[in-house]
Amino acid sequence: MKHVQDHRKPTDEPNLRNAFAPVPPDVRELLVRTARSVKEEEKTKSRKYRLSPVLLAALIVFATMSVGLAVSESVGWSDFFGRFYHGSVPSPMQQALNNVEHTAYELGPITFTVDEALCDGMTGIVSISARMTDGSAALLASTEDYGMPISSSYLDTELARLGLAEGTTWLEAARQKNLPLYAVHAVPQPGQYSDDQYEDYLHDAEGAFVDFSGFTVNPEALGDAVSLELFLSVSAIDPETGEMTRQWQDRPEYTIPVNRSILAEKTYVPEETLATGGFRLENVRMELRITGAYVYTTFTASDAVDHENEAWVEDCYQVEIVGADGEHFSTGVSMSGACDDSAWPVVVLSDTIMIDALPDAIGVKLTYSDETVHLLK
Amino acid sequence: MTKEAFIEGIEAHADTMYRVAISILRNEEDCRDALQDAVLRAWEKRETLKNESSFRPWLTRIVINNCNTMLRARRRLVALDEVPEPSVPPPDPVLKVALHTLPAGLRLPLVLVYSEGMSYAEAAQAMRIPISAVRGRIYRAKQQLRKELREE
Repeated sequence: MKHVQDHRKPTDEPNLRNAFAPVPPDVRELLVRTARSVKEEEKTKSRKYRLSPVLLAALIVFATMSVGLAVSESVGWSDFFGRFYHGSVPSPMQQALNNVEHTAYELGPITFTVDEALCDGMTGIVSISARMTDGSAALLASTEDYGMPISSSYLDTELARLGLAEGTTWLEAARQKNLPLYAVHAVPQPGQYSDDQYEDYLHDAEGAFVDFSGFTVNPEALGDAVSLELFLSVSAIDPETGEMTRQWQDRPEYTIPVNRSILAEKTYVPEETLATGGFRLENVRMELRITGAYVYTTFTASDAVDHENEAWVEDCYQVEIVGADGEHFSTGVSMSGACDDSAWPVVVLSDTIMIDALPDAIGVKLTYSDETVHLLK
Repeated sequence: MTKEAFIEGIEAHADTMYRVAISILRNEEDCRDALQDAVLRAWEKRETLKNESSFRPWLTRIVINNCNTMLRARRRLVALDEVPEPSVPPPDPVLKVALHTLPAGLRLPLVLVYSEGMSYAEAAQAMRIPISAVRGRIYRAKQQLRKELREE
């Protein structure tokens, strides 16, 4: 079997392998021992996870009711981008988010509410909050993290609200506070519209769980609206054992209107020839939509660049688009970018940034180690 | 695939399997369970591996699936204070923290490509997303990681 060599480590970049502790030798031994234990002639049967009879009995999908509940004060996308990315949501985006139909779905003891949603023709975002329907106190954790310490990886406020020590797990919190614990999940499933998606969550000041999801969409496949399936899930967790004792799931449909408005467009051209690696930076085009700007950076590769060797993308990735003063732009709504080399030797990198208006001039830093800001107007 | 080739493949890629699993699960005990099960599943599904040169992304795909399944329906939990700390800390703890601030969707392609040395095509195969999506996520992940490290 062939080993692929790591050929992409610019010297001024941290070696990501250093983020990992050495692999425990017993893990390697366990895996090899397991591999040796398989039978040549027979198909192995996967180990079955233990599933309690209580859980099996409870794996019933409960019908949900669409109810018209008013949305109380909750954290929204402005908090999400503010806390995670230190950015502020453009005002047309906030207006569009506020205009959403706040459909609510009752599932077991929890009411899920679509708080905010929009689609700008390129990216869709949805936030869904989860609260106890009867207003009683409970802990609402992510289905992915309910066995973990509270706020172990997210910039969340729940640990402070509960007044618990750093490192306290959700299970410990439920025991200490004598509160019921529910693992919740609420995510849109855009299906054929999208090939890339992200998700994260926050809690509001009262402990409601808010799931934030975003997805890129194929503009050509879109009509005037995006029809989604919302995957909603609630699991009651026994704080003593960590076992699920009951589970509810549903997949209601939800529709987001599409606002493709392009509010402004501008193409920025370098004042001097800018080249990095084997690439010349041709221009940067910005397209201002309600969510901020989509940024398209166009390069042309020289004949010396080997298209077959993927290492070429590193030269493009080092280029950073910044303000004319060298300041970073805040991460934009797509949270992701794209690299289109279908018209090689022309390569277009796309990304999104949070801005309200297109600037007259922007800057570019060509490499990780060079802080020089080159102007484009 | 012969049993010998399978064992050799697991031996060669055990470290990658572990780092991918810990990137997703962040819990050593769960990693052991998920990885052991992944080895068994891989053997069970060996007929779906059309080309042995694709063993690594194919195996990684199974690891990712197993870890995601475990995350979605974690039925056996280990309190963190029962999990032994890694005997040796990572060489760069600041980088570890910065890496874990990234959303999982950005963290994983970065780990596959930059820690494990996979090609974009292999990472795309392992994550079942288009190569353009891998490129895009890595682009965003690197920008975000750079900001996190500057702020540390």
